[in-house]
Amino acid sequence: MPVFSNPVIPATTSTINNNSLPDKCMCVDGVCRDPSHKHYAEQQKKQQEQLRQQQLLQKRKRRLSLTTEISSVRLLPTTTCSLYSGSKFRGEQRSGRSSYDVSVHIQHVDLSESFLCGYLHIQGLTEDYPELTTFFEAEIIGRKYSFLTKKWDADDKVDIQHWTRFPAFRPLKSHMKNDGFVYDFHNKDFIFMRWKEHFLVPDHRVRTINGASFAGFYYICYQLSTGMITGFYFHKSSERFQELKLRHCPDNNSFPSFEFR
Amino acid sequence: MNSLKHNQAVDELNSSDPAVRVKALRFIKNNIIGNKTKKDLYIQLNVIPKLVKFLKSKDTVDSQVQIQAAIVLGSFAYGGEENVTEIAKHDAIKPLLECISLQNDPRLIEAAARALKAIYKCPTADKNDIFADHHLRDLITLLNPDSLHPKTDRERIASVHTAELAATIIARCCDTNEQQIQIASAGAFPALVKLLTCGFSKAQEAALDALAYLCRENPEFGKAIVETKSETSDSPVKIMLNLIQDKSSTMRLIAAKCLTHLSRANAIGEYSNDITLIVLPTLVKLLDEKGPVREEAPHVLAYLIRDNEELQKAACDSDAVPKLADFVTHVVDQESSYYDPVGDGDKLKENALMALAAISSLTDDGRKLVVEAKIIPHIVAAMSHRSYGIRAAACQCTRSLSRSINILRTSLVDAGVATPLFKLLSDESTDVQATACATLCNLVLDFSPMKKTIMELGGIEKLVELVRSPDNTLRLNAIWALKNLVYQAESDVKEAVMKVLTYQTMENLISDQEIVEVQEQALNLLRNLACTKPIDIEEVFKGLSENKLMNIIENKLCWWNENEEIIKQVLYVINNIASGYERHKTAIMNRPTILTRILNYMGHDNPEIRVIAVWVLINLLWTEDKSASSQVRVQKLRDLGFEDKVKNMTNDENLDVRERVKTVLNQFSQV
Repeated sequence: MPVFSNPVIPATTSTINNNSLPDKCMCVDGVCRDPSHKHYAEQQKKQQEQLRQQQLLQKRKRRLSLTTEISSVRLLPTTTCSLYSGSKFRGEQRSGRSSYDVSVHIQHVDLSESFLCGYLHIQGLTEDYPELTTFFEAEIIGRKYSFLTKKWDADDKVDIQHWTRFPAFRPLKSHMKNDGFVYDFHNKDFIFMRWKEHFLVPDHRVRTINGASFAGFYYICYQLSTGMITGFYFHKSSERFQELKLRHCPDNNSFPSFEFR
Repeated sequence: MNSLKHNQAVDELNSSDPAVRVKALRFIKNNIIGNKTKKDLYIQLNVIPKLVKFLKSKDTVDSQVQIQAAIVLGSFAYGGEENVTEIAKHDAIKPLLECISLQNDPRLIEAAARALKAIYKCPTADKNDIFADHHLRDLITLLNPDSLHPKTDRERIASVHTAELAATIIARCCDTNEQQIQIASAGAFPALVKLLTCGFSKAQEAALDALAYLCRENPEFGKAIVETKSETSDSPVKIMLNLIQDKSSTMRLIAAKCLTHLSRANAIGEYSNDITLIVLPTLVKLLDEKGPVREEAPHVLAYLIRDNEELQKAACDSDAVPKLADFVTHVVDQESSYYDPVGDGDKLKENALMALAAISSLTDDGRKLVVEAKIIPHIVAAMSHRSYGIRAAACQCTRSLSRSINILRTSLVDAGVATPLFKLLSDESTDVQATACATLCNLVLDFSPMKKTIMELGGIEKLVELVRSPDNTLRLNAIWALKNLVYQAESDVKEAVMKVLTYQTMENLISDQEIVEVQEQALNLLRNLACTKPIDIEEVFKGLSENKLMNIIENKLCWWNENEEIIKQVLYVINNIASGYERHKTAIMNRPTILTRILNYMGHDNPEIRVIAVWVLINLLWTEDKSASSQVRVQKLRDLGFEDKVKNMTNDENLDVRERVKTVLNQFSQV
């Protein structure tokens, strides 16, 4: 039998004694038992109010119910250096001899989930859309995502061809295919990611654009100390190794924040 | 209706002959069992006070009058909540509790326990009486069928039935922590664990149920139950893991529930494999059952996986989502329900929505499965359901989904979720209001296409109204939503919010007396207001006055504050102010206490706090020109020991800290 500290006895607020019903009104100790007596109604009202208050109190104590709270885990933002909500990067994407101005606006970073997402703006790609904006989501290589893509038409060979374009990756190449190899990005200068564009912003229902496609994805390497992002676009039927180069744009050193509820 | 014979029966209750009274009671009993109209009739004929009087009469040699009175009261109680209220009004609970004392006729004990079980099933029943006097001890004694000394087989079965009733009563009286403590202190655990192996299914189920509610959200009791010695060689957990394989689906459900509560109470960490490989799949399989079992299974499932990412992933890998989605889309069977005898599938729908909300609360995989199940239009429709539980659950589901920007910008906006959700902010149920408001927090964010709609519907005014609520959850959710709404907002939006909210109210919330989370959110609001543009900072200085603003900051930092989330928010407020004009920086420089605290926080254990503290320094050292005042500022910071402190941080274990330290050292070297 375990010992429990300080058992709390709830106060019994009822003032009514349990004698059998009296025949006439006995307003003793402020308790009236005669339904025809004027005190009776007042007392009933008071009792009901008391009961209601008690129930309310109990309900408050029980407030931790699934009805009001399906998830009590806080979704505090986990960020690093220039990877935070609201961060902006600017640069260009090269395709053959042409280059396009690109800017990236990070919307949400959750390193604990190996996740970030944002908008990618590209200028002058088509005539219909002088500026195209897409929404992308990132898989950050680490505990959750491996260097091996295994989807989006990228096989291991394609992965190696792209990752090895990043000098920072080369020392990791030999481990890449080892079972159980996890690149722990915490406290490392380089963070590797895959960025996959999903839909157009603002109108996600527009599916096809003449002269542009976002069917592929980017292999990304971000360096904390320099705030530089390098990337290579891959799509099975697009020109290979289109290079993305972005630099972090310092804001005015003030940081707002939000948190999902 | 021929009420003559009923009136006569009531009259006969006043007879001086016990035999006549018993006969009348039997007549009433036979009439009212299973008949709502007759129950109402007799209640109107005011029989309850008479029954209570019979229960109290000790002088009867034969206890038949008492037994019949208890049975009739029980029958009334099974008629629903109104009847229970009526019974409670006539103070019948206390005498019924007196009847379960061991010295009474076992048949009376059984009848009274049965009536009490029905009374306590009603969620609004007053449970105070049971904790008074010797009643808990009586109940716990009854958990052992042998204590009634049964001699015949029939008596043996009756005593097991009484034990089952006692366990069920206990299960229904553990709403609060205090109640759990008292029941446990009266010796419930060994008696219930013993009942687990009695070999009678119904009693075993009741014992499991009682144990489940005794350890709900109570780690201490979870551990106590796990360590209770059973009379067999198996531990209580082993017994439960056996019962979860039972052929009866009710037994499987209640065993799963008990193990779920133990797991949630962190009492069975070493069994985490069994939770993933046995309990979770059992619950998912129970979704294929019928009736009350199928109805409660999603609720237990939701509770099991709540806040646990691994289990949510395991639930995604099972086929739970399509099954639950099917309930949301198709349910309307007329089966009777565990909670509500005339249930119509409402509870199943509510529980299914809740389980879907839980599955999709922490992982994108879960959210994608829910989207792929194509039930979002049904979730939106459920927001206008007549049952408040369903409305709240639909909000929870939407809340989980809205944690993904991807889904916010696509499926949720397509389903037109904003307007029906906004209506629920004015729901008659506070629970629904609170969940709707929690969901709204995610819909008013910068990247949500629904932010505009909500503001046009009068979102700011409504949220400010809710922020003044005395309800803690509601107040927290409302200030949270306002904070999210001004995140990266333009100056005019910030101004519109503060015009309605007022700086005075924000100040009150920053020192909220009830919950510290409100303070944190209000500080975060202040941080978001004083952000991005120097004119926005200026606005805050005007709104609060420099003196008040600095006092707020100083108070929050000086008060012995160990809440890291509060510290972070205050430091960010300072940082954002320090990013402003010269005069904003000066306001901070004029407060030596604040500067000392910043210096202290550079040595905080939490790297995130160290980074912000260093950021503040970066902003204070920032000089656009070589003006005299900025020279003075740098010199003052140097004198206070900031440069030396930072020099010691070049080998900080955290990369972010090291990077920012480099920036600061560079700044010092340039002056």
